[in-house]
Amino acid sequence: MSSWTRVANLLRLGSLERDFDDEIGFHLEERIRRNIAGGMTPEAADAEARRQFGSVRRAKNGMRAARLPSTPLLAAAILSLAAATAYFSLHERVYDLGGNIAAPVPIGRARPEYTSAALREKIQGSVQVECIVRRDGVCSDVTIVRSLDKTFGLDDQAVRAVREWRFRPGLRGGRPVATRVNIELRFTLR
Amino acid sequence: MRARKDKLQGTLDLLVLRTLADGAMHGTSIADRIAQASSDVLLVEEGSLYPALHRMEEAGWVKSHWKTSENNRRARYYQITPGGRRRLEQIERRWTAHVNAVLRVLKPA
Repeated sequence: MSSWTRVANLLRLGSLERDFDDEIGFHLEERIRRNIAGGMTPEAADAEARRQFGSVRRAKNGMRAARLPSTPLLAAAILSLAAATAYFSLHERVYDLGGNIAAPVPIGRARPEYTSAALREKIQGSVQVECIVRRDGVCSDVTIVRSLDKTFGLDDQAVRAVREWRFRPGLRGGRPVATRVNIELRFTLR
Repeated sequence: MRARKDKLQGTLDLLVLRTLADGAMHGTSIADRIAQASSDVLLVEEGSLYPALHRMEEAGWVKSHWKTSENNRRARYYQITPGGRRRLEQIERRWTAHVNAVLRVLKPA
């Protein structure tokens, strides 16, 4: 049996404790019965059974120590559980569009705003970004695919705008899934 | 201190596994058997028997199941596993060697 069975034992702590109580309870009763059969009065049999057993609390502590993970193992178990949870929530499977994947639909678009420096320089054109539309309809992992302006801040403004977009998520077999999409943001002077 | 604790624990393991080699039984009977077989020289503090049994089950040397006892109570019975028999042989060999060495010192030929 590996130490991981002890971690599994944590999940049935309640029934484990009941088993300890039942086992010790049986022992004491059986010992009293045998003491009486050996000629003791019930009172003497009871006192002798408890003396022979010693501390119930210490016995139960020992049983717990045998069945449950040591503190370092417990810490390791909790850490790996937390790491696995974090990994799977961050790394939900991302689908590329096409095939049987229904594309996400934007329901709230934020317009990218000019920076004053870019206005002064009269920069126009478009920035293409790629992002992951998560199942909750929010964009994450925004990256620039085609840059327009690194110097006066329009690339950053495009990324900022896309982060505010909201989508109805992409669907696979009717269920929302995370999808990778390309978005073009235009900067036009009026 | 550590070596002493290991030695005591090893003794208890040896006594319990040797007792269980004769058949499955619950803790109370294990304690009685050890006392009887040693003519009451080895008296196990019965409370310390249970942590040892649970430790040995985690180690895979014994396994337990709940069963109705002779007098109709739910009791936990322990039995030795093949791994437990190998462990028993190993501790038995070590103990025999140890005891023989001590005896040779006490009664030089």
